[in-house]
Amino acid sequence: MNMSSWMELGLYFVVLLALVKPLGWYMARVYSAQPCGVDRLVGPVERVIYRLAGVKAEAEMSWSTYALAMLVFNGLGAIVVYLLQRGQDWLPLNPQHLPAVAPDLAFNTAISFATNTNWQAYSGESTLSYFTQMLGLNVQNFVSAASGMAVLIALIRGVTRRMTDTIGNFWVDLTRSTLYILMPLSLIVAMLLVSQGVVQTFSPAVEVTLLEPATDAEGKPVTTQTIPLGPAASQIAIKQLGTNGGGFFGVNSAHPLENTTPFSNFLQSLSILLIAAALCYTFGDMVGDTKQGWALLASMLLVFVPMLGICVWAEQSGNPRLAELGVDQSSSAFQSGGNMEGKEVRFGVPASALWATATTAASNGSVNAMHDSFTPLGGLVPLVMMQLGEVIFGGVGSGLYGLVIFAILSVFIAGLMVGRTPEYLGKKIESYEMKMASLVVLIPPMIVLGGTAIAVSLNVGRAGVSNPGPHGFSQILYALSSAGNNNGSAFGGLSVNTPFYNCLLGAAMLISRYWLMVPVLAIAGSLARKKYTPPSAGTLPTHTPLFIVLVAGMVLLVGALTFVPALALGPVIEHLQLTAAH
Amino acid sequence: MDAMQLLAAVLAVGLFAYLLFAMLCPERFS
Repeated sequence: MNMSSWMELGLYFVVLLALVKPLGWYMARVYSAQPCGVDRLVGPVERVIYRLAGVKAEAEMSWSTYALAMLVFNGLGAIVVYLLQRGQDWLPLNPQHLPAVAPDLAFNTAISFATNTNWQAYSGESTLSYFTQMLGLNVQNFVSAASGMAVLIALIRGVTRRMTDTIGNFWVDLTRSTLYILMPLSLIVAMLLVSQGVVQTFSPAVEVTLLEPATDAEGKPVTTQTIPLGPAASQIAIKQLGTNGGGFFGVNSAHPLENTTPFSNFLQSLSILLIAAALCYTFGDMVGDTKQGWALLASMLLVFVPMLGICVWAEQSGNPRLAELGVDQSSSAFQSGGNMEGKEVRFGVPASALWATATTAASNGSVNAMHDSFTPLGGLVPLVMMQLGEVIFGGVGSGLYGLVIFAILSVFIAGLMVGRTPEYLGKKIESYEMKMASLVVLIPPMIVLGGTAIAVSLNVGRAGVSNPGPHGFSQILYALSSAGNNNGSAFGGLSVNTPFYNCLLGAAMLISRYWLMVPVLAIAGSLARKKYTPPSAGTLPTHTPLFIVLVAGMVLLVGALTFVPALALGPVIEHLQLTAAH
Repeated sequence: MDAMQLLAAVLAVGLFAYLLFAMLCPERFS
């Protein structure tokens, strides 16, 4: 790896960490309804929305009412996206005259976007009209992200409030997340992307004459190429900031009109982790001790940085089979070196590995390279990052509430070790919280491993595999890991637009999103009812290096115990096959 | 970089600067 690659990775972390405090502080003010700078612009819009929707902003909700509001809102959103797809052939902004989407694919896509997964079993440019992309998918990009943020804020209120039954108002949290945080940031990122040449237009696809005519598979001459266009930049900005990940074009951010330059790539990579990282500071600020937020961020980085290192190393090392043939895979001024199969030349290995690690850490799921073409160990990294439960940064809101659950588990286990009642931020952790936390930790692995077992057991599941053997197993495991943790990234190579995969993965996304959100809100409600317990000599400090390592270790341990056997059947065997002596 | 791209860049930087100052001095902007 050359110096510029090191500088690129270093600059990424410097800019990311520099933005954590100001953005985190800003978001804390937004959720605390304190003056936050954009009130004059956004406040009137917010009040009009409340008036039109009949929302009483000052009305508080119990955890069950909050959960019901969230479920009803997300359910209606999924229905709207489904209907838009089914009726897009007679709706406006369909210059390519694309037909209605098939029922199973429409179901899968509707669930995918309502759950913030953004798994894409379709190719945007050849399946969905501009109207469906903008009014269906892009609206869900905002509100599904805002739903995750709202649940996190409700959990924080549960921690900070004492002896009350209420945890806030879902409609207010949803609206403020969208208007004050996601929309202004998206506007900035979208315009920066347009400045880099990312396409943003209502014009239909254009047909151009090839400079060098080619021939198709049947030997017929091909002289023209159709270049799809559309309002992409506005969708890409929120796709990254909201950790959605659903690309405008089929190949996502590897597409030259979706991710044009190294700067647009840097900006999009940064946007993937930005809000999730800054929410750690928001957490600390709102619980009255910013060290608590920094500690959770440190736990995330403690897992993220080594995993990034493994991915960069594996990809930069290249393919040993090609090395045997004398192929030069070294990095130099003239080439990126390493394993460049499936990667964009304009990005190179480090930026592709960084993206792959960040997008799977953050429940984003967008790609700028083909993960299926990564080396076995390089491909193992994104797989593991998803299997850790999307708590290393994770989705906006959902990642941090997941990590807080792991923090609660950590204090519980540490409490058992020293024989004291476990406490987290002044609240006693008791049987009810542990039962709910167990649901949060156990449901995703059950979906991933159970779903993988079903898929590999059935002919319809195995039929989609393009590369039978360990790699084919990895393709199926990756798809279930992605859907079962609401990530949405695709390994590639697996044909998933079939009724079987559309239904299986749709169900996986649905269960893993809401069967986690509801227990988290139940914990929030339970904590809010408790009285404050001041720290004593037996209280485990939750901002120290010991606790940071404990939380990171807990995440790794649960992930490793659950998924190592499955990983051994896929990427580990493949790596051994690749490196075995002949 | 064509005129539209330049305009987008200027608008993005302008909005970013506004938000930054608004965040630094929220009382003055609210």
